[in-house]
Amino acid sequence: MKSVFFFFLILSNWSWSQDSLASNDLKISAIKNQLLAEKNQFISNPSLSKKQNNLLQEKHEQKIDKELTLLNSSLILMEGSMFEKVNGAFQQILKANPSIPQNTQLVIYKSTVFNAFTMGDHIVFVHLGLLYSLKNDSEIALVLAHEIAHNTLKHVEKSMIESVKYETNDSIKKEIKTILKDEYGRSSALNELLVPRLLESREVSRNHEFSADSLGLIYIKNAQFNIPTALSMFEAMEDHTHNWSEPFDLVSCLKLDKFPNIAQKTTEYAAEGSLGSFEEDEDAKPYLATHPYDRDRFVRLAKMEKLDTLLEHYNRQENETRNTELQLISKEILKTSLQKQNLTLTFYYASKHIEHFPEDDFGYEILTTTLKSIAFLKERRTVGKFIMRQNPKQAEDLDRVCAFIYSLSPMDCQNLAKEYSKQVVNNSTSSPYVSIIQLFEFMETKKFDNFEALWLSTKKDIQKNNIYWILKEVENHLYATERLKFLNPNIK
Amino acid sequence: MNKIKLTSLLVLMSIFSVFAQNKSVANVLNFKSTKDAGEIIENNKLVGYYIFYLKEKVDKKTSAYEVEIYDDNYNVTKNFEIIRPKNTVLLEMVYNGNAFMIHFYDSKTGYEFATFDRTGKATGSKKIATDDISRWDLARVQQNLASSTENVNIFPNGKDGFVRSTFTKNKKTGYEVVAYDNNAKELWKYSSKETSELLEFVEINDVSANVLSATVSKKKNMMTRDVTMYCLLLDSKTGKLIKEMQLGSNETGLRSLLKSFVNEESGSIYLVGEYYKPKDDILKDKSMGLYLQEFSLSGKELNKKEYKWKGDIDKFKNEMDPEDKKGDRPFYVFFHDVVISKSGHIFMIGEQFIKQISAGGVAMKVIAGSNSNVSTLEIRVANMVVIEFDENKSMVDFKLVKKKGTSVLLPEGMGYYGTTTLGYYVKSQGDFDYSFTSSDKEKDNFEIVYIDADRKTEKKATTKADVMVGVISIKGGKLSQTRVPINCTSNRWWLQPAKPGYISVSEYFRKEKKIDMRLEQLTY
Repeated sequence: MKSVFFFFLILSNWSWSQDSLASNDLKISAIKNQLLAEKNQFISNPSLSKKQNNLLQEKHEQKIDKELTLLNSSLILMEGSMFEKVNGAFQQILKANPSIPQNTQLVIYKSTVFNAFTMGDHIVFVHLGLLYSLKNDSEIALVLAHEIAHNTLKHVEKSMIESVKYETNDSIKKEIKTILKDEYGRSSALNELLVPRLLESREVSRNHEFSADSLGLIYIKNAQFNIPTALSMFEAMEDHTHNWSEPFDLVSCLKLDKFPNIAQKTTEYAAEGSLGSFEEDEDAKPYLATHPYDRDRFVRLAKMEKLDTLLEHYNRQENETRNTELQLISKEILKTSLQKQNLTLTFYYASKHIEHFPEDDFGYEILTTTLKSIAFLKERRTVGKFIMRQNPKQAEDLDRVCAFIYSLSPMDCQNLAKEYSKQVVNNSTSSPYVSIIQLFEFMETKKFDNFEALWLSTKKDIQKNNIYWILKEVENHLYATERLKFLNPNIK
Repeated sequence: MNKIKLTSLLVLMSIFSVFAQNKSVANVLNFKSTKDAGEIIENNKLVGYYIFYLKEKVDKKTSAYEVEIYDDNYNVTKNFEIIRPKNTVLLEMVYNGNAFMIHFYDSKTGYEFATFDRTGKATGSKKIATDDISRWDLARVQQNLASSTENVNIFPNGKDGFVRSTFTKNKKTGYEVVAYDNNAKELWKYSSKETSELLEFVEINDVSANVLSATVSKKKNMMTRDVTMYCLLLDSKTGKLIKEMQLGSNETGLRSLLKSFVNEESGSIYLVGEYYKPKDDILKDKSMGLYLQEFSLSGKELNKKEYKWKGDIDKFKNEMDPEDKKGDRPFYVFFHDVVISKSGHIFMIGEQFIKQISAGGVAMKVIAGSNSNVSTLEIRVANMVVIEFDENKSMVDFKLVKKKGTSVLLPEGMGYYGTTTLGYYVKSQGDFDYSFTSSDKEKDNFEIVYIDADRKTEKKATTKADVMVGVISIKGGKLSQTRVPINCTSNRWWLQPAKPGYISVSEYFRKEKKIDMRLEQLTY
């Protein structure tokens, strides 16, 4: 009976998501068409030879193919209130700066990595991980304007031309051939030949960043964004570069005090492995970096604007609607982490979601799904494929979560899931995550008739939401152990 | 069945950077077993891994190699380049908390013991020319390179040095124990007598702040079965002999020394092994039972206890579960390891085995006639055995940990050897199911890991896991056992030791040309 109710809810939910997916798909499709047109409109560079132009065209096409691959993935977001909010700042910049091609488009890339990029076309990709860390429109605008400036200044195109010149440089080719002919000292000789070029290109890249910063600043000034507020973005960048993170109290956030044995496990964290940490070669770092140091970039821009050059004096201000925006971003990040089969990141962001939005059931829904999955995979000793190992080079709060998840037993996970599922039961709507939780419960209680009914009604929805990988693990296990015919993996 | 090789597997060079963040190692065209990858051990505890690979040929005689060090979570921790003679192989890497000692071997130039500090800076090097290396030592290296066995000859000597055992080119082969500081400078050396008429071998057991204990075996020639064993105690700071204690004699009955432990806190040394009837042959005859002997750090005997198979150990067998008893045939026990917990309890870890007629071998003889090179005898490997002694050295438990038996066909001619010798043969072939002991002395946790050919899971007897790993846990002196199912996607997979409490599972995907590595917890 319960499964019929679920089915109805999912159907009603499904029609809404169909519309929204269609809108997203249409927008993506339009960008793809724009890119395909650009792919076929290669303009030769008069300063290059025919051979060089052929290579440049090849690189141009490869670049567009890569963008198309990204757009064809299920990780592109181009609709919804969160997208509209960021796109609002984006459009504000475009309108205030008529020199920017007005067909430039914003794409949100569903990745938890702190990054934004452009590949030289009129598309700016912004990662969810970046939006998660930025606090106001001005900070976001500085990032967007910086990427647009890269396009205006044709940095990608210039880098490609440099690369083509280098790759078609006969004397270098000859030298490489000579080196490879020699049996001895190949690696050192290649390093000697190519490292200066690498360092040179890194320096060019750093200069590109500085010039994109400067032009980006002009763009956001024209668009009337608050400059000191925008510059505080560099604090977020520094935090990210140095893996600084605010302390994250898992015990209070997840109410672990109800489970003293589990709470105890959060204290058993050691930042380093038994070998301890080793010194790094700090001298080479500045020369090998593709980007200048965050602080240098900030100081340059602050000086340009005759502002205080001490970043510590900048208070990061939050948008009035920051909480609503963060909640939307956080939800997308949770979906993406689970979709990308990273249960550690899902657990980490779900805990943070619950900390910030304790009233939102979605955090509990995802956390319960994650814990149920971890418990199941731990029993089968396959969880190592889906959780992150500790690494002293990552932010400490995330590293603590890595250690904590490894330390949990399947029973710990079940106990926690049981606690958090209380919040999910109260949920008035259904979702593929609730379906997964239900399927786990039917499997655990061996109610295979119920399992089959729910499996039939929700499998497609689970697939659409890109979390079928969890169900597939369950299906394989149940088929191998219970020989449930409807799960036969050979039947498509 | 997929045979598990607990060996260090080298993947091609292209993958080396991938251990750090990704779980997946891409572009693996093939992989092969080699000694170029291994575990870094500190005080019997796995603390990391290393990979050693050729970077480029520098000239006709030398090559540049890269050494990469990983922590116990497979994160790249340090890498550095070293220039060494071509065809150099890395035999062993040991860490003492402050420095690494790396043992290199080159067939033309010989040994090199190089030390590096934590920044990867070379701090010292000790070279030994091939001509100065005993042929026994070279044979050991060759055997080590050809097999999947780990080379364990170097031990940390506190945090300021290392100590290693080797063979000498005496009149007859002798042994040598050599200590180095963190700059590979020789601190002291203890050798068997140059004039000795006996073949003498040494194996280091334990090195504490003040005492080094080792097993020494002596015999007249290679063919004789007449072996006498000794426990050698040296001052680990100076290399001066504390005592060499003979372990029985032909007249009183010989004793084998499985392991010795130095306990600085209680000021005692424990010896654990098997004892034999007078005039019995260690390599042929079945022992009378087990013994535990306690000595002071100066080598004075404090306590000696013997436990007969018939009489003492049998008592515990009588209390065994009737089901277990059914399978308790008169097996020999091959001891793999001895664990001593903080509570003072001693656990001897063994595995049952017996020589028997092989149905398969007989059938092959009938089919192939004289062309078959398989013996009609086989070794049947059966259950794991754990014998526990309390702090008063009283035997308190004899536990059979049941697992599915496996058979090892013997090559023709091997059947004539004594059962004990065959036990060593089975071990050298890697055919015992015992895999490794994961130790964390500080936390008083030990996990003995073995493979169980019975892949059926407990929850549903008809269900099979891809591999079943048996784990005997000794935590805080308390013993427990469990079977852990490991599931894999690929048909090509292998298991490796990992940090205490974990096992490393690797899978090779031929189509995708990638290796997936992961850490799985042994017990929860």
